Amino acid sequence: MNDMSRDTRFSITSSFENVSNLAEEVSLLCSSRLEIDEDTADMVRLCIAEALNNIVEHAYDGVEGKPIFADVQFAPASLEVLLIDEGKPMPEGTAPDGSAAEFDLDDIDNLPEGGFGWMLIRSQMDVVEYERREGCNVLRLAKELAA
Amino acid sequence: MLLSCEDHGPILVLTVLKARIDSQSAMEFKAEAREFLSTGDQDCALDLSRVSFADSSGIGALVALLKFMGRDRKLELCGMNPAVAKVMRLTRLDTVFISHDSVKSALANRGLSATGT
Repeated sequence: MNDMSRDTRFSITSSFENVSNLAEEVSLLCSSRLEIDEDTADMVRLCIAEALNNIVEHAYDGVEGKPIFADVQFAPASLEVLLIDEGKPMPEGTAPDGSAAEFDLDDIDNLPEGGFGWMLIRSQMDVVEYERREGCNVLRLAKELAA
Repeated sequence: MLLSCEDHGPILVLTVLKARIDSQSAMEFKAEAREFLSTGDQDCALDLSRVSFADSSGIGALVALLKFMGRDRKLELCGMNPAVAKVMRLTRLDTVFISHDSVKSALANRGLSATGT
């Protein structure tokens, strides 16, 4: 594999189906690399799926057919994914901190059925950076790879 | 169709036939599971052995099903893959679910045997 093939760009339109497929494609790309173990590939898939779900649901308000790009780049000791969309900016211009909502594990009726996305992303990724650039949302997720 | 159903008397075995429970399939999963479980008062063993990926929507759907079952009926998760079990742990929801290595062990736990074994 030469250096030219280290950067892979995916282009999809917004829909939960496309998002689900893209997250799987990226994890397959990870799995194809010797330095990435199965657990890491699974967690990258999870984080990308969560971030992309948020783009479809919030940036695009559930509207299908809008552009989303994903750039996947492998460096010797890290993996970086750039997710770009043309939707609404994040509230207050920052990615949510993902602090886990408090809940009582014994109170089954009031257990949360969602809202875990950013907590999962922040717990599994080493870098989470959001910026608004030329009318686009740019989310950079990076994970250091074990030597 | 996401689920298949097998009646084992006191417990209904629902098998998730898709490899993913996520934002795309969570709604459909909830609807189908409720349909199977809406009559009767049986417990449910949910076979997740074919599911290799669940995101937070998928875990949320499992929580919704747990609530739907109420206090008198049990929901037992069977054969969770490592990736699914990890998301469960990360959300801290692992402790609210009963889980088994397989449907077979869930049934054996109740003194039932799986058909054909």
